[in-house]
Amino acid sequence: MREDTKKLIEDLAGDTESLTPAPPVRARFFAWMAISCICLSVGVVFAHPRRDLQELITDPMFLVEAISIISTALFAGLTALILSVPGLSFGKAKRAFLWSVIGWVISFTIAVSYRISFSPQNMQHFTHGFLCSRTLILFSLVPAVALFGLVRIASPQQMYAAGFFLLLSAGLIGTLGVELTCPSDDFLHIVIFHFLPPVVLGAVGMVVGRRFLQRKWKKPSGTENTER
Amino acid sequence: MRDILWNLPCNDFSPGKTVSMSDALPVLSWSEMAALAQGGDQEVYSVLLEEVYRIIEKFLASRISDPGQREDICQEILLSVHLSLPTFHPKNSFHAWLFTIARRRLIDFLRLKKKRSGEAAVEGSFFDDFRAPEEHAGFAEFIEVMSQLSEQKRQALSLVHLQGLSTSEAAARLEISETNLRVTLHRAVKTVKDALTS
Repeated sequence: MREDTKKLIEDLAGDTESLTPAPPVRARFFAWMAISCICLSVGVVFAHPRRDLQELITDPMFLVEAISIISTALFAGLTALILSVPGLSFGKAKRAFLWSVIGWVISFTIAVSYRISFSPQNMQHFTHGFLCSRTLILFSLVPAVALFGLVRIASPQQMYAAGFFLLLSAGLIGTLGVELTCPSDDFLHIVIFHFLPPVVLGAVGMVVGRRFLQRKWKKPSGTENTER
Repeated sequence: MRDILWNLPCNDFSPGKTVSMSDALPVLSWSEMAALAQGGDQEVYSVLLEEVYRIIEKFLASRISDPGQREDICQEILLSVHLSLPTFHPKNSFHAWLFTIARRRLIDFLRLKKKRSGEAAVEGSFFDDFRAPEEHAGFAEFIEVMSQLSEQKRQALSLVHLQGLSTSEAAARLEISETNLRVTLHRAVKTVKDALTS
């Protein structure tokens, strides 16, 4: 063992204050779900729900689509949280990942087929798309920040994957918010401005995750100040 | 912590006998040691980190040949273990937890190495001729050792290890059997290795 390794072990052993157990995945998941629900409700109230929402929530197809989006968002969020605990990453994360992919495919397929069936192909709605994307990002902002904090307090080892699922789930919360507020039924609009942004956000999350999810160790104050 | 140690089924460990902490601690399981470290026991934590180092060193020995690099990865893993220890739950397997971290750090290291070797290859093509003569010293020594080898050994080494031919291709080129080539190669490598290390 090299001298600097011995010194490192001494330094690390002297810093037991930062070893307090992190909250379990389940507790963090429920905390994130609560935050997301509150944000979604407040966001829908502020952004004004679509006029035909009462009719829409009685439509079984819309309900299936909404449930698929919610379940995908929850599974993706759960995957990000599972990936933040070493050793849990393999079996459980793979299952959660699989379910999130299945949920995503179901919600996407339902949304597209449902809209195509009666969409008036009104291209006017298409022009409002960027407004929808902006609203989606605003809806997903707080859930993303909250989930980022909840993932980072643990110790994600696969930063790319954790970042991807983190922003994918937050983006899907945004998709649900926009689905409840945007009056457009144009299927192209739905696909491009409601369903594509979470995937783009997921890709951004891979970069963000790599850059910001990795924690660095600082020697406790009172000793030589080094960052590794 | 003392109470836990007293209750352990270890014959050599009794209140009347002096036993050093590092001798006594291995009777605790890793999960128990990690739990004690989470509770703030610095002495146990120090022993745990040394144990982790020992295991990780063995794990890396077959994967990384350069001892310096191996030590660097060990340090990275120790840091990751420290940062991740709050996520460890004593009910879970410490091995699974530890080796997930070790594998990830190893993968990160190999990726970085691959990236750097790619950059170095590009850099090398431009700047090879401008290197200081002392940087070529190792290569010059290698050439000298090669020149002292027999013709067959030199050709075998050159075809397989420098030109990258398969043993069957090299054997065909040298018009000898594959087994013969392998023996020649083994002897050539040994000679070069001995000459360079002496």
